[in-house]
Amino acid sequence: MRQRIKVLAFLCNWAPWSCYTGMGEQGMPVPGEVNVIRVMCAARVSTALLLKAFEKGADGVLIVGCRTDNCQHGTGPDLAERNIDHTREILDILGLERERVQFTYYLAHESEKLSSDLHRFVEKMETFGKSPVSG
Amino acid sequence: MTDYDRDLSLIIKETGIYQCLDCGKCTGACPVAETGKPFSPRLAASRVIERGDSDPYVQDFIWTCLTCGRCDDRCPSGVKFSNFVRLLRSRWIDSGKPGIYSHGGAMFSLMRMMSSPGIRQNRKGFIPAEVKTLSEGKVMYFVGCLPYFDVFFKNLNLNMVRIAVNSLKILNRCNIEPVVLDNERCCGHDLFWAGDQKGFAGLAKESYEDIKDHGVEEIITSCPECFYSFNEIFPQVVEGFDLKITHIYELIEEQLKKETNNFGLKLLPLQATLKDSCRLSYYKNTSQALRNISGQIPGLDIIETPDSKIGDFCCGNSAWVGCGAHSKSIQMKRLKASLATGSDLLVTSCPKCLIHLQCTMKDFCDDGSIEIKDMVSLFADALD
Ligand code: SF4
Ligand code: SF4
Repeated sequence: MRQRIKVLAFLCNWAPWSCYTGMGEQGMPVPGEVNVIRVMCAARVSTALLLKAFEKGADGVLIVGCRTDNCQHGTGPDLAERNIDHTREILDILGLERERVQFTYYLAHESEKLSSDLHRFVEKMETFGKSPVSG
Repeated sequence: MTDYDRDLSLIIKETGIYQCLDCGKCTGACPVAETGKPFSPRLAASRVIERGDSDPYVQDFIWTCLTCGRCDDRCPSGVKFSNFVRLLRSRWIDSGKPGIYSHGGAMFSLMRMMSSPGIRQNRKGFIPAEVKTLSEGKVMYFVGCLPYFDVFFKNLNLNMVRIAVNSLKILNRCNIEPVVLDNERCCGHDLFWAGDQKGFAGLAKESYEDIKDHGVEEIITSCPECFYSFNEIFPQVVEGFDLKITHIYELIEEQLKKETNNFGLKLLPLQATLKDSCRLSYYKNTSQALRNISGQIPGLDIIETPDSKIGDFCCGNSAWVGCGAHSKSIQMKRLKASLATGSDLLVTSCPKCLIHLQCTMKDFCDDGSIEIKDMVSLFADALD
């Protein structure tokens, strides 16, 4: 039997978390493959944490933050993107697809967009298959 | 007596802790103690005997010690103190507690991912077209973590892979076209020294099999830790380990002894000061190699720091464990000593010394600065 994909989604406490609770209110299910972790800012997810997620068997990791002009802390999305760039370069050397880690951002009312992106991300990870670290 | 206690008494016995004479030479030599932090190897040892290793002083101690080996070197009674610390770390890890790592444990994640049987890395992207390498053959060049360091420490602008590129150029100059593996796994030095013995054993077996599958009989490395790991630790866990391990310094020295060698060194009118690596000097007793090689470069004037003459001072961190205020303080001290020699260059043997000292160099502000370069790259600069 094919093993189920494991996706980790780090959600910033502000706009993304509002989208996430909105998903629940509007009856949009979270894909079973996705485990959600709430963080105070997308920038909290350092390169070290991203690598740890892959070490522990994640097949894909999503950092969900706010739009740059909407960040509560000012530099969150920029730092998150930098951490993702570094992680992608490391994944390149490790031989893992670089799109296994991605950044997305939302405004507080965009629950539908978050929901469809989560599904799309899981589908994309399914095309990659299990990570060689977890598999 | 529980199993746990029995283990501890075995560790105490095997590392010669009972032979301690309480002379204090270890504390006198210890770079951490010199920063003013209350830090005494002999006190830690007697606490373990009296109270076991859950004592808070001991717990702080084992994740602060740099395992640099300077105390082992100076101990008149043959106490193997750094290994004592390593084994206490292993007990800690085996009891299920996470180790105390620097950089959020990122390096350990990398090491563990590189241990996965299914991983297929793409490590060779840094090798320039003019450098000749093979994918199978008897002699292999072991690159180590350098490509990963360049990404992880991007803010330091290090260009660590130049150590590998220059090593390969030197090997080519000696008519060696070495194997470089796209899927080279970590040497495991840091897993072992941070107490993850099981993790190390798994990694070592995977790595050995991969290397043998490519027809390799000899590994040449430019990294002191990889050299130490393959030489000393691999044979402990890999049955029938039969690879010959050569440090690139040995190869260069051998060439330099010949009446006509392939190098043809040109003049480098520079003044340099040297930084030994703990693994080469205290653990493998080969600190002379760095001096022999640098001494052969025409025009290069070597001025040693007072410490390096009697056995060098640590670069402030080892095995990505517990980097703290003491690390910075040690690095400051080592950099100031290098600056005081008035040299143009600080030459290191170990890529980690280079990273740690370069990191602290950023904090120097008005105190001046000195270029830090690895020995292999300096030697490559002298090739005509
Ligand atoms: S140097 Fe050796 S004998 Fe002296 S106190 Fe330290 S461990 Fe004991
Ligand atoms: S190994 Fe180094 S840091 Fe640790 S106690 Fe000995 S001298 Fe001090």
